[in-house]
Amino acid sequence: MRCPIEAGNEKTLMVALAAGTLTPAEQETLERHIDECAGCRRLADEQKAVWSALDVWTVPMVSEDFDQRLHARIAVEARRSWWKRQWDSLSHARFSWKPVLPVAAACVALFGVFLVRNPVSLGTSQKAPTTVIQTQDAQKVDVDQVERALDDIDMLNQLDAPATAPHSSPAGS
Amino acid sequence: MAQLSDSQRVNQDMTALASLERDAELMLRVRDGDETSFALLLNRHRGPVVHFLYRMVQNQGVAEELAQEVFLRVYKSRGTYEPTAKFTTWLFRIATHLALNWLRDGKAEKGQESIDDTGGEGPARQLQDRSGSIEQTLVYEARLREIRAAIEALPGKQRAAVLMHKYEEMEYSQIAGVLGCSESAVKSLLFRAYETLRARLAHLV
Amino acid sequence: MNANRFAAAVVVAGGLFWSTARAQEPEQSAPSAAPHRQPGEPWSPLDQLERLRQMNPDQRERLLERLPPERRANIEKHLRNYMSLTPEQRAHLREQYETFRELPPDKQEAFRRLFGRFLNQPPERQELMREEFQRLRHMTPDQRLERLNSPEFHYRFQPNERDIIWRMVELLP
Repeated sequence: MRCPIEAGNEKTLMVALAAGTLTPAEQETLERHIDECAGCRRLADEQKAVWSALDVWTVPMVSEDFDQRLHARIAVEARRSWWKRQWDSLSHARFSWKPVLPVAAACVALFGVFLVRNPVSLGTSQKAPTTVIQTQDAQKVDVDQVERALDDIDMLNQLDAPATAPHSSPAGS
Repeated sequence: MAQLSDSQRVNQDMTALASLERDAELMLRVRDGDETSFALLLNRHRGPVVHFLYRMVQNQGVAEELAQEVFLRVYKSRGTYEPTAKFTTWLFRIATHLALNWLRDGKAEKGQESIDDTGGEGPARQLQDRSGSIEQTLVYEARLREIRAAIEALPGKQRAAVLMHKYEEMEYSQIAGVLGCSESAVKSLLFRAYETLRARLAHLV
Repeated sequence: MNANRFAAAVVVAGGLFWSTARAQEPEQSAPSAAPHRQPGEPWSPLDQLERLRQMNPDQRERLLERLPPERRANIEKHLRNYMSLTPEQRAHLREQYETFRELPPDKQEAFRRLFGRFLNQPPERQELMREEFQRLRHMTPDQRLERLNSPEFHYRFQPNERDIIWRMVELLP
């Protein structure tokens, strides 16, 4: 076989060799080459050494009450569900009933639905710009984060652009 | 590592495929309200997720908290689950995001176990040689410290890629799905990581 | 009176249920709107950037209209540049950006400061420095060290330029 270092695929093959993911035929071919090639042998030995070293790192057992704690959290989440909270507030309202209360609550609910469907700009120029803005689909876009991301991506793009200078020149000339 | 014959490899692939289909099938049942199926999924994936997170954040308490958050999010998202990707890809994607966020937030400085610790809380599942001499124990602990330090020194994504490749035995394509990048990017991450690890750990064996 | 209470409760419950259902929709639509995110995952800056890119002009206008003019112009310019790239170029840059984001915040800031110094160099020097930066990034640590100590590296670049290149290479994995 062609030397993997010359072919440029030595990393792929040596990692696969150490991981045991080569087919028997591939492994046999590679090991025959390794016997004859010092460079590949060194790389294979090093990668196998890393693989074996990582085997040393065992992990603690999962706590016995892991599932119990998880189910408790799920139960807490279920208890805090939106429906339950609203049902609780409705139940409370029965004891301090005024005729105007249900009408007011219905108006608030309908207004809230209207806002979700049609977000409007309520601020003026004097108000500090809100950087987390509700879009029509109720997705929040943090403009600060996006602005920083765009700046960084532009920076990386400028560093990644292919150079056009055809030759090297002495420093500062 | 023992090499599998072709027929053994085919059997292993078929078992893995059946397991993956079972995961999606179970999750669809969870979507339909079957709590038992969620318990089955939890039983199957609890260990791998906690162990992956433990090696990422190197703190057992934090790893279990993050793992709880992973399964909580899976449970809360059950109503909208669609088997567009492997279940484990989705699971590890959430886990990796949470781990990288935790590392990025600098909590590692506050809560990370000292590299001098050998395994965090709880009994170790297995030590290479429990019955060995004090000297062997010291050697083991020194090696473990070096390994943990070497992994900790890797950037987050390289760390995640190595842990998924080495301990979860994921293929490049699945790691790419977890990290949201191309296979070639995964190879680049892994090869850089292994190069760094070779420089730091090859002398241990 | 009981009929009034019942009717009002139905209206309130209906409004609340509808607004809750609408708020749930983003989880269902998230996978198609932001392909990098699955249910349960936090929104990264890249997810938000993709969300911004996929908005129609009216939505984007509503998002940016409250910003100061300079910030808005900066975001729009960078977004235009980003959107003018091919999907492959955008994917490549996103990968680079994710690598950059892995750095601790102080190192990200250090890199941005170095980039600022890079931009202060004459354009023809920037091209040479960019070419060298890319070359060094693809080398092994040993090769990089050898290159740093080479006469050619010292001949091509002034001390200030060498400092910028080397520090940037050290920071970015």
